Amino acid sequence: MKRLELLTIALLGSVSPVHAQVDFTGAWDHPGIFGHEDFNDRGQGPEIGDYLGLPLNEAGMRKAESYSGSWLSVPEHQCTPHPAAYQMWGPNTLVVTSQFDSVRRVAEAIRLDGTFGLDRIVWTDGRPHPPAEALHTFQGFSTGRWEGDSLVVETTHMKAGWLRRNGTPTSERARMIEHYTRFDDYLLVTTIVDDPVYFSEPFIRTTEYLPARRPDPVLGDPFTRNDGPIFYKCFPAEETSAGAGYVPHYLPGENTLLDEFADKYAVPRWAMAAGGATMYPDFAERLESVGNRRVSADEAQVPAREPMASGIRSMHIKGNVWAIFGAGGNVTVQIGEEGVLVVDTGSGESAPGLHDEIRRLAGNRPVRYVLTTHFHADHAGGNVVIANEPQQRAAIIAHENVGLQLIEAEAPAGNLIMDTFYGASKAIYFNGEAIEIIHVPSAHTDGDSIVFFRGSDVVSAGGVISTTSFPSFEIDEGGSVNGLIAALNRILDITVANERGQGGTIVVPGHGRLYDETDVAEYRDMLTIIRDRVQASIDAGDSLRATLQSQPALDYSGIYDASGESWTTSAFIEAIYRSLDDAR
Amino acid sequence: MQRRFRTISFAATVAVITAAMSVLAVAQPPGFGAPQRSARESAQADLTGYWVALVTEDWLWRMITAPPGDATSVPLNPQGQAVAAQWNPNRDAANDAACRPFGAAGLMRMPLRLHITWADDDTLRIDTDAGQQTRLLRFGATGEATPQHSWQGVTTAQWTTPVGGFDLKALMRGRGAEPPTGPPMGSLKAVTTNLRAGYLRKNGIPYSENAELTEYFSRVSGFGNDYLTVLSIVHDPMYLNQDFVTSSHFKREPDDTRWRPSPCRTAPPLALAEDER
Repeated sequence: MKRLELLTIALLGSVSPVHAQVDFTGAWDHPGIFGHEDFNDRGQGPEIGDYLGLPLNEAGMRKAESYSGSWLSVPEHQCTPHPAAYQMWGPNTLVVTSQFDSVRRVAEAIRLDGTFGLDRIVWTDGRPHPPAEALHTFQGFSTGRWEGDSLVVETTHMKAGWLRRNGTPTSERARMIEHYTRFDDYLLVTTIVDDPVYFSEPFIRTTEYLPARRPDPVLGDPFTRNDGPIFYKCFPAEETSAGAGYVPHYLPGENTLLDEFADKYAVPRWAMAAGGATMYPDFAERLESVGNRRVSADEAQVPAREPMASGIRSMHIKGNVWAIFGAGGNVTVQIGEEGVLVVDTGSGESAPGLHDEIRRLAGNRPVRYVLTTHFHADHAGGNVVIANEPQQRAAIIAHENVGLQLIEAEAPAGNLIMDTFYGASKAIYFNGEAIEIIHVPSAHTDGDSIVFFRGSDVVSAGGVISTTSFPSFEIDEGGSVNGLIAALNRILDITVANERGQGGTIVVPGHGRLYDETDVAEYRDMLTIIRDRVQASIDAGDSLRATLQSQPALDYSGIYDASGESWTTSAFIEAIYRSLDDAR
Repeated sequence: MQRRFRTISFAATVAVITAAMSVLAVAQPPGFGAPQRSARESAQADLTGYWVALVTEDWLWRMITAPPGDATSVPLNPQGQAVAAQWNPNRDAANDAACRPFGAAGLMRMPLRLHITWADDDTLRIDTDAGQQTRLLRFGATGEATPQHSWQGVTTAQWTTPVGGFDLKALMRGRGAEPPTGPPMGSLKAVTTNLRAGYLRKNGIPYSENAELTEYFSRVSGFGNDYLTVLSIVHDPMYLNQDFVTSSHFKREPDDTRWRPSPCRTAPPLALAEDER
């Protein structure tokens, strides 16, 4: 008994001051269900052209104006949920619950569930945000802390999304800070989004909720037929007769819906494109007095992307597959009972470090296969070291053009005996899973392969995808823009998203962070849209110089411009121009 | 049996004391027992300074004047709709009522700047540049027995301190919970009555003189900016079929460089010549 009393007192005495952790668990609805602000956002959706009150810069405006509502009919985008930066503004019921660590029985997170795909976890246990290479999701990765009565939530790793359901964009570089504050019966959610790619300054909006009157709100997607509700998990349907790879968008100056909006609300076109200035009270005066006081969206001045961590590091992807970063090009490794299979070997200088990392992951299991996606030195440079197992050298597999190009380039790897193929694909079975090596002709080079791990459900994309630069190809090496687009569509033939258009098959790009199907589709969309713009310039008889001046990649430079490196935005546009011009 | 009873009674006693201490800790402001501090001294958030409205919501109804009768999102009842349909800004101007859109229940949704200062130790003052309005948020009694109805009405204010938990160690030493370190993180609750009938929006969406406005002022920050948020609830059974709830946000400005006072005025709905589009 004494022991119990002492223990009780000790436990209570050890309680530290709790910092205002207000309880807002429960179900919440917007006042009047749809809320009393921006009804269009909660109802049918805002009209194309309503970019007013948003801090879009020139790049953001270009992206918004090229948006077509048919984008949502593209198979890879059909199941897209409301992204985190928009979610609280949409028509949603919000359910807040605490999540407990099942072993330690302490609160580790707050769950935010809701309609239209809201399923966020806000980690409150102090864990760090993932590394830059990690997969992005529509809800991002959130951590929370208390400031007074407010729960402050920071979110990173969001996929490209939108601020309004009319194509006003947010990029994968966007970050978000939210404040959840309770005022008597009301919950106020303040959302602040900063996007160096598409915004000229941070964007803020506030959303209010009241306790939901409906018990046990239905959060799932209702799908009912005459014979009752049936299980529903969103997967793409055949919504249009458009061919595979069709990317709907408006070319600059061709979006007639903008005029419709201007006419309907009597808002001048210049005001619709004025960006951040429209947020400020002074803009009301400008609307009344046009002429030389017209304004346009701020120029996109995008700070350089934060560099990824240095040094060789690895990450488990799925099943038997790991990715290794920091050794030149990305390396994909499959490990199992039969040994190790390596897709690409990074640069020659990094090969010893890569070898050590493979040993760390695989122990003494030998490297049996080296698959080379293309001949570039940052992908095949480590072949000599990595394939050099003491008892049996690993077999090197590549498309035959890779072998020829390695010899032509006088690369050390060109002296190694290779198991080449010249057909559309080659398949092997290793460590209990089928592995397809699929040739994608005339893409990054004329020898590219992508590698599909069927069992682990991972694709290694080699040179076809670099998330840190515009897609690169050299015409002199047999690459082409249309081949690259075809290669991306080939990857999309393989990938299957899990739920809400994300996850599922994971793609390891040649450089940069992990992708899933939606990311590959965004990348494909980007390349297709820019290709179409350049093609339109060529069709109009524009010179290369004029095409460059029209900035056909303006809305994507903030994400993919590899400033300081040789593959600049201009080099990319010039390559597309020449690739299309040659094809005529 | 007796041991078990003692165990239960001890646990119950601990629970009751703990609960009582918790209530005390929550109920008593920091410094319980000390002389009454002024509202300024006990401020739970520093709201003073220059603030500019960021019109990122309801732009088509706030930045420009929407067409007559357009009450999108506002839960107007039939009587309110009838009044809204009769909106005539010229008549308002002629009847010394040009400030109707600048009344307290609509003021924070207008595109304008705020200057918040302490008028005295117990009165927070909010000035606006557009409309040149002044709101006085009084902590404690207003001192006016039967105040006149006015555009800004009569506002009583109180700080809402962070609810917090309890600090048993401090309580056992006879003190309330230690105040948290860092800047105050509470908010301001303000209730306004005695309003002159005005507009929720520039295009004549009405609220009556019986409307009651409840507001919560709070500060948040993000990405290097300092923001003021205002949650507003307008209760007006005469014209609304439910409370009208909006929230507005303002960004701190360093000084009065952009402060441009202008009288109450409502621009007509936009109508442009074809060549201006």
